Formats: sequence, C-alpha cells, structure tokens
Amino acid sequence: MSERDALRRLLSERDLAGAESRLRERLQAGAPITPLLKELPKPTFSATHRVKARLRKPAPSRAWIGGLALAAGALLALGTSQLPQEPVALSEALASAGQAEITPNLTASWQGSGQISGTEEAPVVDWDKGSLHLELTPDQGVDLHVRTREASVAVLGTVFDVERDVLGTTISVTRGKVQVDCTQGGDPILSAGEQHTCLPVSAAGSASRLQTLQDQDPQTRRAEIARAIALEDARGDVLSELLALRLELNAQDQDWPAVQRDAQAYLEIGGPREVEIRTLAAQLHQRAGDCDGVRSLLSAVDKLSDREQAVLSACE
Amino acid sequence: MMPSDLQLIADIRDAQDGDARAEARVVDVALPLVLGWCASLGGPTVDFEDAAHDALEVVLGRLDSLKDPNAFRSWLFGITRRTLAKHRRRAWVRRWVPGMDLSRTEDPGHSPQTHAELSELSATVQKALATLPELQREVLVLCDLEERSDSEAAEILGVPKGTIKSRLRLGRKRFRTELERVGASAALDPLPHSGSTS
Repeated sequence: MSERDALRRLLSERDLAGAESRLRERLQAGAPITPLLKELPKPTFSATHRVKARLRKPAPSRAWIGGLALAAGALLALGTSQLPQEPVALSEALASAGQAEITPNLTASWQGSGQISGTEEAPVVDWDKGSLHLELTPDQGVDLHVRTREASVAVLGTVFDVERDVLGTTISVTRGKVQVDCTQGGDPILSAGEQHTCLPVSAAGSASRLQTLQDQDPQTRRAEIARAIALEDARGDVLSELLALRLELNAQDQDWPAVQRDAQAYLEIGGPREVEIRTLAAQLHQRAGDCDGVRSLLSAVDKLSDREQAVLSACE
Repeated sequence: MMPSDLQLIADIRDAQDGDARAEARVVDVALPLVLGWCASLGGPTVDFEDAAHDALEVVLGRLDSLKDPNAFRSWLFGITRRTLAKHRRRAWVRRWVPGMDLSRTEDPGHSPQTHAELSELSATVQKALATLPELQREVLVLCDLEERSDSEAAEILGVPKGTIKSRLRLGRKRFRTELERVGASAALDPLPHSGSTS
C-alpha cells in the first residue's frame, strides 16, 4: 500500500490523529537533519589553540607537588589573589578565504594568505597577500600587531582592513585608531574613515605598482622610479622594466637625449621589451642622421617589421 | 587516495621514527578531527576541549603502536570514542557522587567559555543526539554532519557499509523522534495540518 493510500484509508476511517501522525512522520522523514546537526557545538579557532597549547605539557612530578603547594600558599599569604596565567600561544595559517574567531576578542575574515602567531594577549598577524578584515574588542588589554613587508600596524581596539596587493599595503580604519609604521618611512596615526598606503619595499614591487598606476602624475611616477632603481633588488628584468617606464615618461616629455640614454641602458641589460625599445632607439638615431647607429641597432632584430623596415629604408 | 593522505602516511612513519616536525604535522591533521568529534559526540556532560586534549595525548603517546598508517582515521576515531566514554563516566561520577568536584555542580560538563558558546537549540540537539545508541550517533555525525560517504564512515568506524546504511536510517528516525520529545520540533519545517499529501 502506498503512503498516499495509507493516509487516505486512515482519513476515511476518521482516524485523524493517526493520519496526522503518519503525515508528520513522513514529512519529517524527508526533512533534512543536517542543518539541525550543524547546531551542535563547534570548536572555535581559540578552542583549537587552547587544546594545542595544552598538548605535551610535562606534568609536574609528585615530588614537586608539595613544593608547588607551598609556593602557592606563600603567594596567597602575600596577598596575591590570582596566580599568573600562562599565555595561550597562537599559531595558525590563514589561507584562501575564511572567517574565524582568532581569540575571544579578535575576529578575522580574509581572502588571501597569512600567518597568526603570538599569544591571545598579543596576537601577531603576518599578512602576505590579499584582503584582511579584523575586529578587535576595545579595552580588553589585547596588543594586536599586523605586519606586512611594507608596514607594521599596531592596534588597540578597532575595526580595520589591510589590503596587500601590487600597490603596496593599504590600511583602512573603520572604527578606532591604528598606528601605522611604513617600512619605507612614514608613521601616520589613522582614525576612523582614513586610509594609508605603504609603498612596496622592493624594486619588483614598485615596478608592479607603477605598471598598475599608469595614470599617476608624472612627477610622482618619476620619483617612485628613481626610488625603486636605487633599491638593492633593482637588477635584470626588474631594472630594465623600471628603465622602460622612465623612458616612457621621458618620451612623453620629449626629452629625446634622456630617452636615448634609457634605451641604451635598457639594451645593455636586455628585457622583454627589447625589440620595441631597439626600434624606438633606431628611430631616434635615424632622426639624428646616425644611420650607422640605426643599422647597428636593427641588425640584432631577426625579422624586421614594416615600421623597422621604414626606419632602415630612410637611411638607404 | 588523496595526495594529502600520502603526505599524512609519510608523516606518521617519520613521526614514528622520531621526527618532531612530522609529529607536529600529524597533530595538525588530528586536532581538528578529534576536536570536532568530541564537540559533536561528547554530549551535554562532556567538556569537549578537555576530552580532545586527553584523546590527543593518547594519540601522541601511542603513535608508535599504529601499525598501519592507512588506518589512521579509524584508529584516531577509536581513541576519541574511548576517551569520550571515559569523560562521560567521569561526568556521571561527578554528578552523582557527593562531594566530588563541587566547583562544577551547575553544569559539570562545560567551562564557562564553552557554555557561553552553546545556544539553546544547540543544547537541545546535543541532548537529543546523546539519547541515541552509540553507533547510530556516530554514523549520524559522520554522514549527516561531516557529510562523509558510506564507505568513508564504514572505514572510520570499522563496520560494513550495509551497517552504516541501516544505522543511518534508524539514527535519523530516532533523532527526529527524540528532537520532538525534547522540544525542538519547531526547528523542523512547519507541518501542515491538512491539505495535499502528494
């Protein structure tokens, strides 16, 4: 007998209670219980840390128990109401995207990667890349620090975001105040609604930032290129890219001797834009009537484009 | 087998050979599993953090005795199950033997921190689940909460797949009945009093 027939029979027999009970049972049999089971207690981030922190703690030997009792008694006699508690160590990797209660006073949501260390009282977040949103309950004596390669942020009770991308590290404060210490200089205190970007500390980072911020004013770009070229890791492709960026600025300013210098410096190092810059340099030589220079520059190009052919033809 | 399982097996072997870093990695895998099982299976009288800690201490102490690293999850579950049983017995003793652990008379199982994290519905679900026979409870948690396959649950619990299916069916039915009994029926989908039965 089908379920429907069984119910019909119960109803025809005026067994309403039986029908209701059967219907209820059937409906409930189909109702998912997973959402209810998800109401079971779940270990929080801090519970995980507490358990991890307690693992493999050597238990005091019996011989010490008496001594510990005496020490505790002595402390009590001195009026100490509470024994100092051992700080709970934090050690957790943050990856991809997530949300978690890191300590009872600190919650985080993120999209990117980083690492948490320190203790519940003094957590340290080393943020590698992406967005991080932190909410810290004020006045709980928690000394939170967030570090990136470009910045160190000290926080006492606030809500703020840290974004690390090609532009550097940007700190935006929603509530409270944070003290920012940029590796490349500058230590602003940010209040609610304010934000600050700490510039990349590497030449590669600066090159990426400059590529992204093409519409920045030329003066700022020029200053940033000069700063990046002076950095220790300004070598190889990174240096050639910075030279290419400076060459573009000089070309916009029609400072042809400077363009020629940058092109020469670029070609000495080599890089992915070599053919483009070789052609540009050849054009400049051709304009100056230096056909030997044009030939020399274009002889290194395997297959001449129409534009390069035109430059060469102008010399013949 | 997942690449992560291969890594785990290698780590277990290295940990058995005394590699402390491999042991730490094994703990990193075991900790969330054990803590999750203790939280969902411990019931209302067990402090799941304490139980997870004790289970992990046993894991660390007995890792050398694990002969087949492929059976790590099953072995881990067995330890967790035994530790939880021990904690439930302790909780029972605390509750019924006069003079035992007077500091925890109100709710012997939970620290204030854990207690605050439990909602009323959570406590109801916990109570309903605690009334189920052990295997039904475990199958329900592994299959319906952790969304593991029948085969995976069978491997962890060391029982045939057919047993998992039958216990799951019985467990679901009994869990619903118990939920109604302990007063959480409102949390289920609202039930029509009359109308279509199709």
